[in-house]
Amino acid sequence: MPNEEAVHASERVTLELTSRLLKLGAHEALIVDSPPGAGKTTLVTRSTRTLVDSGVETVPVVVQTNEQANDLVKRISADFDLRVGRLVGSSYTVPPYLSRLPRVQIEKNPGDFHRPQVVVATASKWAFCQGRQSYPVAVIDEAYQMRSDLLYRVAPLFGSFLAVGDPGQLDPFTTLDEKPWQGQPYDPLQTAGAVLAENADGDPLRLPVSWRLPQAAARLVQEAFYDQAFMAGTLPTERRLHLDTVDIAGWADKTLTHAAETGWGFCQLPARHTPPGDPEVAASLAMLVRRFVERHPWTSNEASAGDRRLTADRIAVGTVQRAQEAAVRSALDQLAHEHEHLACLREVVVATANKLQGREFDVVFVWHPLSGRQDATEFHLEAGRLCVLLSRHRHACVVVSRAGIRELLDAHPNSNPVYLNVPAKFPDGWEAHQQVLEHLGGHRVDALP
Amino acid sequence: MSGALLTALLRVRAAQEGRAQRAARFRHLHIADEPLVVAAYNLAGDPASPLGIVYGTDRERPCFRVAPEPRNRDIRFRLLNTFFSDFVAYVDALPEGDPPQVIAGNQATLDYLFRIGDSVRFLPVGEGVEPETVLGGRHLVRLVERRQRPGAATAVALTRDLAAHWITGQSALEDAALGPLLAWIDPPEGQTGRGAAESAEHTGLPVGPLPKPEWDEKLARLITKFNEARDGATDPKLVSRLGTPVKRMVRDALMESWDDVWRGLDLLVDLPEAPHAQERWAEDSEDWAAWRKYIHVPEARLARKTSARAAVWQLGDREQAQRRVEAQKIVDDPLKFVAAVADGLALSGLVVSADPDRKIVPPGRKNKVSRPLFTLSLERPSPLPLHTEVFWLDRLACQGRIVEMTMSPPRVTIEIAKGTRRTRGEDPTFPRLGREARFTTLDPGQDWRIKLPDADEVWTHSHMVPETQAVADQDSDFVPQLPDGDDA
Repeated sequence: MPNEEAVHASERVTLELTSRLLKLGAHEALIVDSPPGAGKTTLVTRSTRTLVDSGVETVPVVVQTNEQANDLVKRISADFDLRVGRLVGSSYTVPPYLSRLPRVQIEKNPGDFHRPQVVVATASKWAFCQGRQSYPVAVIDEAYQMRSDLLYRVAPLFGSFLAVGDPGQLDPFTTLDEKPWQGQPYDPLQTAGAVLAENADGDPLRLPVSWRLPQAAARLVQEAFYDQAFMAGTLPTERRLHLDTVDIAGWADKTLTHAAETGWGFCQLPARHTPPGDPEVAASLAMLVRRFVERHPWTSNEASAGDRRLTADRIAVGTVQRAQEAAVRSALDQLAHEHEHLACLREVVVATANKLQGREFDVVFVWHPLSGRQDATEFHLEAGRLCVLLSRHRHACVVVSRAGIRELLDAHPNSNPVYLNVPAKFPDGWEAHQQVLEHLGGHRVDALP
Repeated sequence: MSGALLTALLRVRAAQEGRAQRAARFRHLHIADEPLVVAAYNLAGDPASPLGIVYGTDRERPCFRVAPEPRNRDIRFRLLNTFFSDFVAYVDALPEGDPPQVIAGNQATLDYLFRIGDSVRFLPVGEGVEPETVLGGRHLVRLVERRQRPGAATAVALTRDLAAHWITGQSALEDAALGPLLAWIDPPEGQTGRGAAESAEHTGLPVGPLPKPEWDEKLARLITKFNEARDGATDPKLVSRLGTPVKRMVRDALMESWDDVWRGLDLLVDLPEAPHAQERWAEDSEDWAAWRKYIHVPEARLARKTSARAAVWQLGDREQAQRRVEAQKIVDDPLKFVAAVADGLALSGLVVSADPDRKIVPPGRKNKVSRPLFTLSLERPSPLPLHTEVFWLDRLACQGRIVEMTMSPPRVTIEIAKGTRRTRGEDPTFPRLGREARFTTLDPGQDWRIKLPDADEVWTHSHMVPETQAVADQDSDFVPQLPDGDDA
């Protein structure tokens, strides 16, 4: 039995989107804000279909990474009977499955396509296509992960935009000092979404339902990270995660059993200041993943009838820095190498928050951004980072951290400068961290690595 | 960003030994043959009221300029006019192709010089403002602003550049004071760096531009006396005579800063220069030549506000410069390489198998392409995961991917996909069998740039047009760092 309220709310927004999309004028933008897992990709594919049906010859789609482009091409070619063009960079190695998809043509030059109805490429690739061909309307996916300077480069190609994005995720960034541009109207580090809002026709449309997040997560993520209301698309009884009860009673098993029941786990190591790649946190994460796999997880949900084995590729470990990613990866690979039954650990996805954006898993293990730190910098406090890490899962999320986060937060209240004409950032990272910590406190298990 | 782990280790070691530790074997910054050393103090509480400036290219011949009452416009501009006239003379005397270089004790002094330059560069000439003052202000702002571009050496803040080469046992905040930083790096005979730094904190004034309150109080009394004595007069001879006590006090303070800045500069100069620092200086030189050519045209005008297009260009340019300088440091400096390895951003190994002539037909393609393959034997399992993009340090254009790896024996196999063609008539070089090869994940970026559309084509950014156009004639408007053809 689906969540009927969610289905209705969702249908209403879809209807409004279609009517506004068809009325979009030249040099206008329509913006759609989407919480995590609200069916953004479905929306992009459907809108593309709507535009094609309304007589638009070719709908260009602007995405941010090649992986996103490939995923989208796969989805469009599976859902609709459209001729899809995939525009790639000259040195890009196309994954083999892509060239086998029906009705998909892969080219390096937009002029080489045979009348495609949709053309998908990264923004950086589109930037190379200046002065060739222009299109009346384009779709931008992940508009809040695209920088204003990239939008500047591609804008002349397109007459108007449908821009879709999740405002709660990580903002695009630079490793440079941002001061020279901050607060300036031409700040090239703004998001494309923010720039397009200035050209928008009316208020942004807001998707009302997260189909990904379970009830246990939707509420926390909504309250801590979004000022737009949204609900979970499923009822609490629809999503279940089962683990073998062979519980050897260690901290790892205790955490996992709790997470399977409640959707949340919080594993806390003794307080200590550590370098970013804290080997004990890496080992604890590896231990949790190992025990999780060893306890034969299976799931039942609204999408498929009956129970389903949860495979290792549906598990992710999310970190903050690359050194942490490397530490966890090598710990898992080591286990896979030593134990035959753990060979599947190689399939587990380990990545930083930046790379996990836009992806979805059944279970996600998280390296807490403030774990073991002596200070809480803007980078580590960023709400978007925490939000990405806590909103990738369909079933459960387990966070691992050193003790002492509360003291750290208390010692580092927000001291960022405020710039004129720059709207206050929502949510505030410090506040979001406090809220999440408060919530995790109720799921805490002390680890003894 | 890179080197965090090694920096942490060196900081702990420096604290333990009471002495700064070298974080680089080379100086990653070119020091000009004749840099201009500058130190200055400003009157407390007034943002651009220079009390005194000391400058010069010769340690034995400092030029002191003091304004005993900088709040008075005539007296202030006497100082500014002299300083900027000397500054323009310094710039003009440099040999062709040699850009000026400004050396200051700390970032605060550089920011201060920027402010002083900014305060005069748009002024109309006349009423006590000399043409050299306006031109000098424009030059100075140009040089200090250029330093925001990673790798540029047109302006040096010693605290920042010394702390990039030595790690002390104190916090980064404490490193921003030149005196204690010098003590950590080069303590007097028989003292530890820590001990010397502690006493340096309590003696003397900061290197500038703000002095200490105790000093300020004494100075305020002298200025009051001076003002009472001159009774509103600004005649140069009178000011000079009556202002002697103020002058003496400011001069003594400036002398100490002068010595400290030269000491810091000596420490930097003594480091051997990294090979790529010269290449980056050549870029500074090119940029300076373009600027001079522009600014010396009589009708030269400056934009007061940047446009969206210029900001986009500037960001791209600086990010590209940043990528390149990070990669170049690792290429040049074994210590920086070790730091990158510790951070999981690089690896080195013995080439145990090499197939530089390998050709394959990649999936989805029809033709054979060159894909050289190399296997490296490592000391420990690779910190870089499978499929990581890597660049060969001996030739950064040579780019590939880890396509295979084993734990025991620890090995990685790298397939080269870019930089396999002949360039400028030369055959590409590759790692050689039996030799050590080093790779990094730090992307040096491309050295060409994408062409930017003209502002009037970019409808999404049209709302960002500055409210007031300072310059009507766009063609003669010099937008900083925006050459005519930016897709060169």
